[in-house]
Amino acid sequence: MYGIGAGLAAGLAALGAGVGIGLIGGNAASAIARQPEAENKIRATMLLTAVLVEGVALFGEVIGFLLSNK
Amino acid sequence: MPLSPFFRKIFIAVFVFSAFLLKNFAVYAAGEKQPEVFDSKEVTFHHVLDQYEWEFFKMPDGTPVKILLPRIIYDKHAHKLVFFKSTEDALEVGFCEAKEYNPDAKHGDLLLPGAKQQLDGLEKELAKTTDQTQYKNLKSRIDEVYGEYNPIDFSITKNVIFMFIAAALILIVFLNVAKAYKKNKGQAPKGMQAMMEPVVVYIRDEVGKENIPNMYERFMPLLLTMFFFILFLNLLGLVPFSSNVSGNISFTLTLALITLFVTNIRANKAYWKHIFWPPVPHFMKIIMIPLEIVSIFTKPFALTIRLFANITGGHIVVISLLSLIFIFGKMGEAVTAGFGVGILSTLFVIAIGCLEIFVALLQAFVFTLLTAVFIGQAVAEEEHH
Repeated sequence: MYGIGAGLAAGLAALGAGVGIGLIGGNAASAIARQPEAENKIRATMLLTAVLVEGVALFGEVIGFLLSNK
Repeated sequence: MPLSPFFRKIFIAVFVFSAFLLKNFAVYAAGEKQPEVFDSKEVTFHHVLDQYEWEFFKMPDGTPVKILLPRIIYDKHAHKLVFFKSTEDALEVGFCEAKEYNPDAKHGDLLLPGAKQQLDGLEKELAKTTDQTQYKNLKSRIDEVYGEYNPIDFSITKNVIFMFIAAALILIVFLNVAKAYKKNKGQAPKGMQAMMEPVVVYIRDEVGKENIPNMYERFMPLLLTMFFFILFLNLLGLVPFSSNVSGNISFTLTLALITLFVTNIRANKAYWKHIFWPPVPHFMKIIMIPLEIVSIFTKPFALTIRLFANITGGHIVVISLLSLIFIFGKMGEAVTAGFGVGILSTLFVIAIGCLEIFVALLQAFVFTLLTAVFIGQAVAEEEHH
């Protein structure tokens, strides 16, 4: 039972991270397309936001890790 | 450098490749003596957790080559700090391994003298008894005795040694850079100075000045130290035979607590006013006030988990991929499969290793940036609407 929970936790967290970072990347790409001069600022913002979203996804991964040891 | 750019690139490529190959040997040496089945879970945990000795490698006949690290334990029964040159010395004097009584304990955790007799006696009674209530009583008594004999451990573990190494490296690098600034007054920077200057200026301008516009000079030492300490430790963790310091939750929790204390001790009245009486309509105050109070604590918690999970997760991925080689090779039986998987796995590990270097830089930067943002929110002057 714990194994299923661990797998679900980590998997859903990864799913959430994938969707979130994909949205960030897509919006960043369209923003660069609209205004190529602002590319550096947009890329910096994109990386920063991606790291923050990844941080949230890692909460789920840590829970999966804790459960898999039980 | 006297070598041409082409040779420099080849040299770097060979060095990186061999460094990742070397990690193979480190993984092999970490398991027990030639196990029949390769226990990848044990190897992974051995690499990710802290140890009380620094093991380099195993000689061909199986004896490990390692440095035994000193133990410093607070003996609460004798009310003093006891020092030992190694775990073995402590075991001779009467301390006993905690792992025998608590399977969750780390290899090398010690219990105070006197614990062994009591716990052995209690366990013998536990094996003899058949009564349910007595079983429960004995179990709780064992936990009680275990808790009483569990000392506070200030030992110099492998993580502490690596923190010292990182601190020494930072001192060497930056003292030399400062000396170079004094010597080359007015000239263009060169060497290590040229490498550090853009980084320090970037942190001062984009992270310090932008988030804490009114008093950034006071916090620059904190931000710079945090950034370089975390960066050096992240990068050191990628070197073979090193320890995983920034993936240790106690370490990241300490840094996050530093952020928490600096933010709340230096906060001005506007900050507390925003938390306890935010300028929003009354019906929203009911939701926002508990939310803001909780967020004082969740922000450092998120900092902790972010750094810990990123670094530890990366290490676990690398070790798991390398363990695949040994699982497929079945410890010498199916050598061809192990060899083929070995090449593929090493290439994959190099790719993940490059991602790891990127993550190391990025996580150090994000920790520092978020600390600066929180401090900026705390010391921001009152906006006049």
